[in-house]
Amino acid sequence: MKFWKAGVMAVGASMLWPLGAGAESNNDQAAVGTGVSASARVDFQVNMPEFLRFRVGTAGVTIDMVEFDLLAHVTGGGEVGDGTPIDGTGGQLGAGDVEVQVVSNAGQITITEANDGAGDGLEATDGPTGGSTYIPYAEIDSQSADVANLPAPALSNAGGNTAVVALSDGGRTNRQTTWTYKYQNTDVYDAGTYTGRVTYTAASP
Amino acid sequence: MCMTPARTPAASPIPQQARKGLAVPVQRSPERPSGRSGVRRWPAGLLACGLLTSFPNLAAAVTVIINDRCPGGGGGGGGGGGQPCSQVFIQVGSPGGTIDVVTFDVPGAIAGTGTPITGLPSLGVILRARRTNNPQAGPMTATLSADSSQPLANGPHEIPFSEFGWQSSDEDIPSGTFDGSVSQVLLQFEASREITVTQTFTYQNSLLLEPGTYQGRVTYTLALP
Repeated sequence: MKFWKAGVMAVGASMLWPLGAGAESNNDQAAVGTGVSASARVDFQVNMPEFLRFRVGTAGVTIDMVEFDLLAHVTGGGEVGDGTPIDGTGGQLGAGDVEVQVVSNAGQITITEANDGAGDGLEATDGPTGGSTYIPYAEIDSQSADVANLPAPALSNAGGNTAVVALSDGGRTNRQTTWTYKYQNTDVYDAGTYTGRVTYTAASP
Repeated sequence: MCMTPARTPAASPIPQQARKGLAVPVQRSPERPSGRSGVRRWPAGLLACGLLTSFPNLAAAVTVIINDRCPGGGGGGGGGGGQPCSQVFIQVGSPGGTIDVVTFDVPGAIAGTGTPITGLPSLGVILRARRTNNPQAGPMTATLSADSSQPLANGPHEIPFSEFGWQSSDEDIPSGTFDGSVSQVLLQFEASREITVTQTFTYQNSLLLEPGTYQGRVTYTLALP
């Protein structure tokens, strides 16, 4: 019998399963019917940065243009400076509408408006005086379809007006709505084509 | 004529050197096999017969034995030495003393957009399930399961493992998604078999999460009944 044991061990040694050296390459063996099991673990890690995504109008580099045509208002029976708001045309969605989206995990988000008018308003250089004339930004009303959660800051010549975006949950924000621009038409200005660019900045504290 | 080797009388003592080698003389006559080991010597006897016929001066007989039993005193499952036994082996990632970490770096530009994020590194998976050649045991089905019940955590903030899946290099282990349960069956196969695949993990990235580092662990288990 010793002879057979020697033979078994000599050949059997080459048939053994490789034994895992580490914690996550494990093995088990047992008599049939006893049940065997071996486990290995894997850790998962997600690195989530603070981020803020903010969009006004068309995504990407496109800057949308909203236009207000007072001539059309007059020919339609209205008057310049009569206080009747004039709908815009153009914009991402047409009719002076743009989509606005704020997605962030960086805490309370505030939107601040600014413009390129150096404090003077929308500028026209083709007016009757030959020089620059202006329309104050306050003549342009911006209204949000979701005032409670994603309001639009009021436009101003000086800039700096803010609107606070409501948090969705904890320090996270996920809001989307539509902002609509209208020309208030509260005064009479020199004839001309007035242009200006508003820049919105969203930021966390 | 091979049944009674003339050079090795049945009653002769076994040479000492033969005890340590692979070539050993046949001792029992084929007419009286006894026990399980007797069953295994029949082919060996025939082999020995062939060798004697062709090379009568080389050896009296050759017996080849393949051990399919638990090593004596070995094993963590309590298998006794010399008993038919089952064996399983699992390796996920590289062997060693540390647990592999699959990392997902989420760019802020696409965080929470549903664009999948691929984790690094991919991991090799080796499964082996072996059953003994025991007629009474019958077929044995190995089961690979995963415990993903504990979500990834970042303080009080969590990501469920249902946000994670894997792509296998082949369908020996089908691609899938964790279900967040204690014992999700990933695969069943009949022993004895070895399976080797590479798995690449993905994070579905469909949640808007608080910033920080989220960590969690999946435990794979390979079992034979």
